Amino acid sequence: MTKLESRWRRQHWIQFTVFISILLFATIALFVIDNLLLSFVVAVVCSYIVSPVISYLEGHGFSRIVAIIGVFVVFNVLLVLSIWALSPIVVKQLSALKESLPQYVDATVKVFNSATAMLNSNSGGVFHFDVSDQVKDWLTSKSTQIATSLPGFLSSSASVLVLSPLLVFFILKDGHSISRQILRVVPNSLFELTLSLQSQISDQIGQFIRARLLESAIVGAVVFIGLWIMGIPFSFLLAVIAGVANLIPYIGPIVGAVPGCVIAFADTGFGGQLILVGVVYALGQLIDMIFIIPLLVARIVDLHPVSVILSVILGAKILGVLGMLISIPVASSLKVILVNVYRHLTDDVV
Amino acid sequence: MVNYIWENIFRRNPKDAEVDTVLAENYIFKALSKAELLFVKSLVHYRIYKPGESIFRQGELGVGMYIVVRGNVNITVEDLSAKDELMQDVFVTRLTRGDFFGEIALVEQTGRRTATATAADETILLGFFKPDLAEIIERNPRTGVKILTRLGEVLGRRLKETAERFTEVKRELRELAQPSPDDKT
Repeated sequence: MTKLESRWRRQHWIQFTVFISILLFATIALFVIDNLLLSFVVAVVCSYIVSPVISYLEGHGFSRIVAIIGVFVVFNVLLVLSIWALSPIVVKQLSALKESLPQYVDATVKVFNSATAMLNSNSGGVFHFDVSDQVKDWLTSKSTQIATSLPGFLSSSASVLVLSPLLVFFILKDGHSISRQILRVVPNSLFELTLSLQSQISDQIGQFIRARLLESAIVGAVVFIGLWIMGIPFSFLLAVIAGVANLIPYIGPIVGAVPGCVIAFADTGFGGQLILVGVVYALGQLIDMIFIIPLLVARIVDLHPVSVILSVILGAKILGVLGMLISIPVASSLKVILVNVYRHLTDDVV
Repeated sequence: MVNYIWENIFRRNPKDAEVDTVLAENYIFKALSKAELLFVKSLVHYRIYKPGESIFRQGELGVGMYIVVRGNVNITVEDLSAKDELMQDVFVTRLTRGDFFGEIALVEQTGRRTATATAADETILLGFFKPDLAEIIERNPRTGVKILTRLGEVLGRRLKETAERFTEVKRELRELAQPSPDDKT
């Protein structure tokens, strides 16, 4: 081995070791420090949302730092204003919900009772179920748990609200130079492949996040307008739940519709209002399925439904609700990597 | 001490100065202003190759072009008709400081490399790739247009040269096929 080659190898090893150490340290920090992972995910999502605006401003002659500061200020002012405007409504609706929870627990137990009664009579006495007590106990414990964990949840949201904007600022300002530093440790033989992968994954995740958030916002808006017109209580909270739940494929829309249906049932029982609430949620999903998914989401993420379900289950198992939310972009990134590496190895032109 | 600080505070890194010069002299970036060159510099990739190291191989998927900052690059093509394996690589040209290659990959969808590029000695290259060009177009369309115009000119010139060479070879083949007057006698 020549002197030059040994110098090269040493340099590469140092670069590689430093890179792996930083990566390990960052990963440990993300999982150990409270709310850092959530704040980081929120920051990545926000930076993907605002990055086209920053590029647009840069294209119109603003320097990147001025564009970032401008967008950052506007974004934070809007955030503060929306918190200021919405927090009284949310607090009011949450405390009202806390008071009404026993009523909704009873309504849910009633649904189970009528369902089990129907099952018992239709089975001709073969089966005899009585789950009302278990359901009532479970629902009561869960609703008490929600009520007691709410202050903790709100305080952790506050730390995310403080940490995320800071992370957004640094991702937008230094994200490019950080990714270039990471690319520096990639060996020459893999450099073009890695660069191409990084760019494709970043594009795909960006488009996916923007499309999914737009989808959720539209579903949430449809649900809010529908429920508000019908005079259903907690319409804003229910719309937020429907919108957030909609981010989880397949299971999300059903989970998001349950609270609204329970409230409608508790108020009027089986009847017109329950059907109308169901129609509102279905309308939100219909608009999503007919317009938004074919036009935006399907074009971006081409994953088989089975892969989607498996990814969601795996995500839920590893990281809970956060895992369910990020499972699809992670799965589609893995797909991009696998397809490109396969193409690179087999010289297959697709 | 004070002198040392003042002497060094405005001194440019030699590596930076070299990159600046190579970028400013390159035909594709020649129309850019100083600020635009600075922007391009923040996007290009500084890569170091050891002697004999492959930069890319013929048939591989290409993502962009390279500019030689220091050292030499050998361009070869595979002659598949050659029976001896050692004779398969046909030397085409040697590129030196300021030369650039692989620019077709910047505009092709899934472009394959048409030749093999190898570092002849310790070589420093600047890589300018499709994602970098896309970023320039998105963040600074005016600079993007300037680069694309120059790139179009380069590709057009290469096409013209190839067409001329093709006509020349065709004429030579025709001449070879026609019997000379000496043969008739």
